[in-house]
Amino acid sequence: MYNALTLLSAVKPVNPQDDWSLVFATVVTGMVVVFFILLLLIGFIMLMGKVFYRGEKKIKSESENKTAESIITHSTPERTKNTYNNGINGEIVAAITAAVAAIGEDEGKTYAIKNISKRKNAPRSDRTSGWGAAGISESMRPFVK
Amino acid sequence: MQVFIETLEGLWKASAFSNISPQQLLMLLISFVLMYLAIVRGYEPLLLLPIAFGMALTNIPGANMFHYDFYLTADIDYGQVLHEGGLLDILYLGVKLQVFPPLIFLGIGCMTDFSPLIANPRSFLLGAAAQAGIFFTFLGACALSLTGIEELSFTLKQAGAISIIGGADGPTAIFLTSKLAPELLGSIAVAAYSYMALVPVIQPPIMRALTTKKERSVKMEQLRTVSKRERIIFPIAVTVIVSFIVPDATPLVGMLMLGNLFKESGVVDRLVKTAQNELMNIVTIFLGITVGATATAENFLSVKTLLIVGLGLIAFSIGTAAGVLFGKLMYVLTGGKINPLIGSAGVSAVPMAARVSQKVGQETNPSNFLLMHAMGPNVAGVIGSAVAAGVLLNILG
Repeated sequence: MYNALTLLSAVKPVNPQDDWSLVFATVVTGMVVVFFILLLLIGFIMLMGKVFYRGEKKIKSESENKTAESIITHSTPERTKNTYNNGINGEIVAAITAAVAAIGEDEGKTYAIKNISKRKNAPRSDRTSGWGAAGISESMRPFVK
Repeated sequence: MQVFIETLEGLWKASAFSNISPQQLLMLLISFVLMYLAIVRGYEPLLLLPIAFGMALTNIPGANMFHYDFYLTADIDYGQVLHEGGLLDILYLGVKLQVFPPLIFLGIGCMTDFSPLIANPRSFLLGAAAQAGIFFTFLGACALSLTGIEELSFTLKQAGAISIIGGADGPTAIFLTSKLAPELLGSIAVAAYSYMALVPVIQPPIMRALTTKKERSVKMEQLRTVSKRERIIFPIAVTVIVSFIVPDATPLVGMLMLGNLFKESGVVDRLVKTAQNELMNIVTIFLGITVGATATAENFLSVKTLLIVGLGLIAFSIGTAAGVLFGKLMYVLTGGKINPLIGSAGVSAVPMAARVSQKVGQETNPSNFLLMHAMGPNVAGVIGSAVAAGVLLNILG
């Protein structure tokens, strides 16, 4: 493939009228090479999917069989729709569930949310807002390994 | 008093007022229009605004910020650039030496999620089909030479540079054009970024014209989850496979995949943050302003610029149509499981083209969520257009 491309590029007319065969060869070669490479990538990804996805699916189903309770995966708007969980709005529960699911997906794990409740009477030192805590963490980042 | 008057005379003669030509004045007006489009209309402002301002700066006589004649030959006289050049001459080296576009791709890789593509690898075919716009426009640009009129004709290299507009990928267009036809860089960059901003306007009519209501309402199966291991191996594999076959595509594809590997590895958070933010922003500023600086009155104000704008629109439209038509083919072959609308997302305008697929799909079926399905072909198009650029560079460069 690379030799064919090199051969094509060895002849270098300047204007199309100098060599129309190069023009058509460029079009055909370009489409063929693009499709060929992307087909190769499709094959590789499908193979990768068969090896890694099937393997992880097997491990996941085995661990699911071990636990007695049913697992809630990803967000469950049906369960929380218009209901309140310990006084927390259903939309907030959905957002928390989605965030946990996203973290789990990043780590390749599945988390089950068993309970969500508001913290009452948190100690003063722990009353920094989420944004404030994120800002502090960001500033301290260069100093923390 | 005499000295005072002579000084004022000298200042007047050196000023732009006494040296500006009508063409340069027109270029300044064009740059103001582009600034309006970027600021008020929000047309790809991140790049169009610096491009527009670079255009303004280069057309102010006497500013000497950019000297296009330093870069006319393949061999650059670096001593001349450093000693006699202005700010934009030095920054332009990043474009001429093909440094900036790959760095932009590094940042894009850090921001791209290839999971939809890995989950549904058939999307690659749609990304490949959409690149037909590039090659058919190349044919069209070459065909203009049949008119025999020099003002309407392009050389092979120029035709190759113009055709990459169909990939709807700004950095790729700049990368290829700076190598094949740097004299057209300003026109091609303005055309490419303008059409990227016009994706929501250009694509929907083509998508509706080429699909039936039944096809548009197809709901696709939920994508499988993609493991972290797959997401880490993917960029490494793509880099090796693509670079081995088309080494000229390595700067773009390699940096795209490096950025993605940074993101997916999860162990270089700080590098990811830098690439996504500070590095991307700095390079975007330098790239935009220097690309704009190449749009001098001599280069930009010609019939060829209008032809480039027209050919760019054709390239974009053919790319969209080819993607949708291939999507229809996949719809038939899969027994109605693929929605053809996601084919239009094979152009590399991430994520706008995917959003357009979602929007047009929802017009027919409000409960249809095509966004994540369309992201597959969308990101495949980025890889596809980089490969296409590598092929064109190899053959025509």
